[in-house]
Amino acid sequence: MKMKRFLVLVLAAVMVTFSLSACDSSESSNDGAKTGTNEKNVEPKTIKLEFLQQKGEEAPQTAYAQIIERFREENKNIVIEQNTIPDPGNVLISRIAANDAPPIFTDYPTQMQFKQKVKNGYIECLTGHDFLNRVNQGVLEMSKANDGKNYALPLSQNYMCIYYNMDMFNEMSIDIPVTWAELMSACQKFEQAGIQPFLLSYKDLWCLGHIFQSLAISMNDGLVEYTVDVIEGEKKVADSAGYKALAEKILEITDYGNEDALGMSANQMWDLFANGQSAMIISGSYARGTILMANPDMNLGAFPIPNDEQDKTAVLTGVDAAICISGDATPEEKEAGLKFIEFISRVENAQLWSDTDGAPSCIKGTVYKNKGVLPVIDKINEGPIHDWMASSVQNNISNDLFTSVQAMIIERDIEAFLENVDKTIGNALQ
Amino acid sequence: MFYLKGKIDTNKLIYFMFSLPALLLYSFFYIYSVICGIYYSMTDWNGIDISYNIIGLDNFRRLLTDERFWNSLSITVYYAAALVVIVISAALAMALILDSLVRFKTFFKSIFFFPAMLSSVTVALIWDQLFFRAIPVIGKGLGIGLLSQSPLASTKTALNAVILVNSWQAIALPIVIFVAGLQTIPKEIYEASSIDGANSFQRFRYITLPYLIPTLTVNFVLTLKSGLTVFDYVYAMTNGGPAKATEIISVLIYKHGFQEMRFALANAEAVILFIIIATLSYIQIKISGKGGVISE
Repeated sequence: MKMKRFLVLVLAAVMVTFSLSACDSSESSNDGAKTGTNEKNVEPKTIKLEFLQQKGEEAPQTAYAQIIERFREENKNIVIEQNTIPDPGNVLISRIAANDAPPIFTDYPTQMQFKQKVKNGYIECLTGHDFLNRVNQGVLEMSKANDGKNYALPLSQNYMCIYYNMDMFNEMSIDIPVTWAELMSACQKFEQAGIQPFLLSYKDLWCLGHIFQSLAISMNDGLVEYTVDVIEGEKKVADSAGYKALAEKILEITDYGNEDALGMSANQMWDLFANGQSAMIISGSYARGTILMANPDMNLGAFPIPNDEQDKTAVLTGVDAAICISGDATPEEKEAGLKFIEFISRVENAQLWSDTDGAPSCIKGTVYKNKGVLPVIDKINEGPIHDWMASSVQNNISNDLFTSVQAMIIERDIEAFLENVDKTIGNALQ
Repeated sequence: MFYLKGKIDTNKLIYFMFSLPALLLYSFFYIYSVICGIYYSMTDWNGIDISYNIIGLDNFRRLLTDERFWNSLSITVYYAAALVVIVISAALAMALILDSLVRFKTFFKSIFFFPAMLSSVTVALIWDQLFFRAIPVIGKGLGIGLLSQSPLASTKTALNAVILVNSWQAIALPIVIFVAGLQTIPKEIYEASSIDGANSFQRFRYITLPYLIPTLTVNFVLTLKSGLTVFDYVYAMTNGGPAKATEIISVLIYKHGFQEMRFALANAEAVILFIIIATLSYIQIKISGKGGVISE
């Protein structure tokens, strides 16, 4: 028996040492990073910085790689290592929660989740640095945290639009539709000519969510604000004429879409559209690079999702790819990170980035060169515009909402959909 | 434990030391995680905030009335049950056929084992493409309404489609285990029963099956466990959709934990799943430990 007790003790001791040593090793690796200090008369040591970049597409990866290369020429002792991973948002959260935040990363400053990270001190404040003055004032205002300060450098803007095949539109002599009625009549013409008007991807919930949000915002009817009121218990979705009209529009556009929309993933949609399988798709700025990669010769155009009345059309646009520094980074890492942010915010570098990535830059003095997308960019500059839902609605509620939309598309029952949304929001708030 | 006639039994100690690294790793990565999980299930941590409160069993109470959780649980039970029935019966049938082969036995065994060597996500993504691109063409060509679109796109067929793909791969390992089990049955018994006039069904029922009970138990537990904890196939093929039709418990845990920022609630769900699996495994081992030839 004594032997048994002794063994248990030994085992416990070994386990404790094991876990302690795990802590030790992580600390010592931090120490390793701290040694990059500049002492007088000593060559500055090279410091390596991980840069977790949330965009997996090839275009932004190349754009960042180019900037990093230029940066390296100017700062020989700072090595920035771009890291791109699948499912970056979730990985970033897990790493932050595990005290393993990358020193520099990109994030979405207008989203509620970002503001939560700021509140917990996970992200370094950037207000007071001169490079912020290079950013468009409107975008800078939009990306402020709750305390009125900026925690990220907004580099580019994203948007939702209808991408169209310019050649197909030219062949059928169809102009860019500027009202919903014109869009529907264009769909009808394509259908009569045996061309699939729309390809839709309802399989991936996020993609369905983007289509839903962009349609909601194009209506310019305060639907996002209404949803916030519903969450606060002041209103009911079932009473909303706007929600009903939106649901009708979704079903209308679904009728002009592919039969297998619920089985089609976003990637399949981009791929088939790029290869001439439909005249239009509803997608975001993020899709442009992928579509052109699938078919580099395609004449790709984009226009805003039209409202019933032309001058009321609003565009869904938000701050994309904003760069921030971890609050847990060492002083040396922070200093190097700030240098990198300053570098990328210079007009010539922002221009290079925007040219490669394909998204419009937020830096003053840059020029947007993609002619096909100009109808959307002009509309964004002209307004009205609206931010993504994630800036005002919690993720769990919007996910439930999109799931209800998916069910409505299957069952085609608008009344049930409206009631279902009220019910799921009620459940989520319990 | 290590005493033998008043002296330390060095042999036993050596065996113990050999298993020590595995034991330590197991303790650290599994037992420690389980304890952490139970702890967080009693908090209101959202996965980001530095501070959180201990709220006792509130998460569990909440789950008792949570429609989404129960829906998810029932889907998971259906999934596991269907997987067990399909995999065990098909694997047993395949093993019996393979075992009765006179020639090319090894060749066919390797062929049927092949799916086990593929990563499950790879299999899921390949089948996803097959469902999307090939099945509708076949369905339309043959005029079968059910197959005229991807089975993953309909709430009615999505779950069964995923189970089918999972079974396609999951069947490989049980076949090999069954074949190994069949080879342990002494041939003399079959000969003796033939002389006594037993037909092939009687031989299967009274000789093969009793000898196979331990193998059956292993396969049953393995398949049941993989069915209850399946994640990769569903995540890769449907991500719980359409309209939550395939939202099995592990996908719900993942969504709650990492997408909807209800980390503590996700942990409570994981703890419930853990209790269910532990109980089922215990009952299963207790019941099937009895009976069978080898265990007697």
